[in-house]
Amino acid sequence: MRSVLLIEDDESIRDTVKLALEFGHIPVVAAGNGREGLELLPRIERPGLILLDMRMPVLDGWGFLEALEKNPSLSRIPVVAMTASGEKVDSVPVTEVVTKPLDLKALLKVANAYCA
Amino acid sequence: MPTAPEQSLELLRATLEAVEDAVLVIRRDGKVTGYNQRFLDLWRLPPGLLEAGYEEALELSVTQLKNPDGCRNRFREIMENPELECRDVLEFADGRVFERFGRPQRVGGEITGRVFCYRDVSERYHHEEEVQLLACRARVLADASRAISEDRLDFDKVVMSVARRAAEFYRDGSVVRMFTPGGAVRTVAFHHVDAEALRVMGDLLPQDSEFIDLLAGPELLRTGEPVLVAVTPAEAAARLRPEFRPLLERFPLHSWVSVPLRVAGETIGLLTVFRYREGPPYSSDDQAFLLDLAGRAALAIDNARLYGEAQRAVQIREDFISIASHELRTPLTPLRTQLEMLRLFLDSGEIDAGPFGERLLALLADSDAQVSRLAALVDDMLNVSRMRTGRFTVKKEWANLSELVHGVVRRWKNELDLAGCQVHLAVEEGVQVACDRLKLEQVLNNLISNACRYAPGKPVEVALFRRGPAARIEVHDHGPGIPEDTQRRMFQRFERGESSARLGGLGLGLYIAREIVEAHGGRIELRSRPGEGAHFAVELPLGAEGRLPVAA
Repeated sequence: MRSVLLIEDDESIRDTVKLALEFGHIPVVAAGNGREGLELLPRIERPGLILLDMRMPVLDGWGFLEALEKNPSLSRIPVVAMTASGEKVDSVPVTEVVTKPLDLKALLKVANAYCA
Repeated sequence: MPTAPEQSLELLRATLEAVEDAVLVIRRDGKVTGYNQRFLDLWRLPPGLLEAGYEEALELSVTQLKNPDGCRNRFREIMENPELECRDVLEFADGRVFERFGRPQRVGGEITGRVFCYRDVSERYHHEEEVQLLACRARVLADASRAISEDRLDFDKVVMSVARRAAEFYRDGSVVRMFTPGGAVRTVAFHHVDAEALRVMGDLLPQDSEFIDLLAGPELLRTGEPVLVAVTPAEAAARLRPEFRPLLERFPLHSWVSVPLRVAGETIGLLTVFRYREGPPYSSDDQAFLLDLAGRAALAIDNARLYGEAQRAVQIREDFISIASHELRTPLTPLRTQLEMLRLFLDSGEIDAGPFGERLLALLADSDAQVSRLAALVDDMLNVSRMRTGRFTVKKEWANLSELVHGVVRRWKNELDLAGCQVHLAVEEGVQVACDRLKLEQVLNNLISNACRYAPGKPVEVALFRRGPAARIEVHDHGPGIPEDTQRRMFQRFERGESSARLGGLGLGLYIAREIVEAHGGRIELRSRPGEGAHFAVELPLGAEGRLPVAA
């Protein structure tokens, strides 16, 4: 089972999603913003999935994706973006988009598919 | 027995003394051949002076006039043109005004000299001047009233207009000061017809109120009564602090009038006019005129001030709603995720909650519904805030309206069941419109939610069909209906049916619905009669397939 890199600035959501994933037996590495995520990536085992919040301070989802694309070895990791409803995400180069409030059951299914 | 010529001469003398005019007769060679006592009185000439000729008398005379050189030259011009018939106005320095008529004296067709008559026209002249001044004041007042009322809602423009008009009328300087709620006095506008003086005033006035407080006089500030002051520049300088000396050197201060700006007996500020140039000091007439002007200005100024305050209050409310809705929304997303987590946990059966499992799940479902309701209210507030600040936009895409209606009704099934509302659906399939799906869903949400709240236990009819160039969605309930006078207000912000205070809600739903529908180039209407339920209809332009219709 590969891990999920969870990048989310809201501590409550981060903890809850982490709990849900761990409840589904998926290991989680959590980061508070895009920059923390980028710093963590080289130091951890290659994750099966990146779960990415889009609106964040320091480095947001769009900035994180831009940086990710410049690194060919990392750019192939699947990314699921978490967005607020109504947010424009047409042009985001990600594998999937889920909207908040999150359907955790569905999220678990997605994570299982990439990490199992 | 006097001779005939002697008799004629006596008659002439008697006539000369009898007429009201002052008379002077000069022969062509310059010798004075006749005059009357009135003439000597008029010019305050000693008896006998004229016997020697008119030159000396002329010099004595012109010095009494406002324009000695001009009058001397004119007199010589008249004397050099024996045939000239003339009428001139002579203004004395002491304020008297005389009309002088001059015509040639002829003997047998030959010009032998000249006759002058001087008539006192002071009264008429001053009266005319007064009438002209009154007319001018009336014009200025009417003009000011009009101009002030044109700018009536812009405080800065109104006070500037008052200052400008007062200054321009007198060709002097003016200042408008307002009392602040704290009791201080603040300069809000000033003007001077002299650009240099205006610049100096601009440099000095905003920094320091003492200058104008001095002009206004503590009396006015204390009693609200007008103040009229005439001083010498030295006295004015003595009353002011040294910083103002450069101003006074350049523009010596002679006189000023301050009048209160009064509204409903309360003094809200003051208008001051001051004279830097040489000239007569302001009179009580000027004070009366300025009081009149101030009276007209005060109401406009007060209106503009109140309007500005109301605008600011509205802005503060809009800002508050914007910030509050953002702040209230922020914790909702994690809260809903956490509830979802608990549900996932309980649902999994990993932990056996025993007989409480079902009840806990029901409780969580209710929590989720409550949070959803809170989220919807907060979203309403957020949307209204965006609508008010122009940040509200619709992003249109082609969508199947029939599916959208089915979807919304499906999501409301639980609530409708709970409210005891049976839904009758009549949906024409395959109706396509260009719309912002999420926002249009919100319109339907609001209409169905209203039906649940206002008409519980009664059936609800939801219909969708094409009618002419529009797609029409109808939501009919069978509740108490809405009185006609209330209907007009229903689509405004914070309005609700009168009997609905106990039903909660922010009164934003229909306002938002109307804004959304109108942003789509459509319209929303309400037909209702008390006791017969409410019939809401939304019409959206169908537009040509493949081409997005332009919003109205």
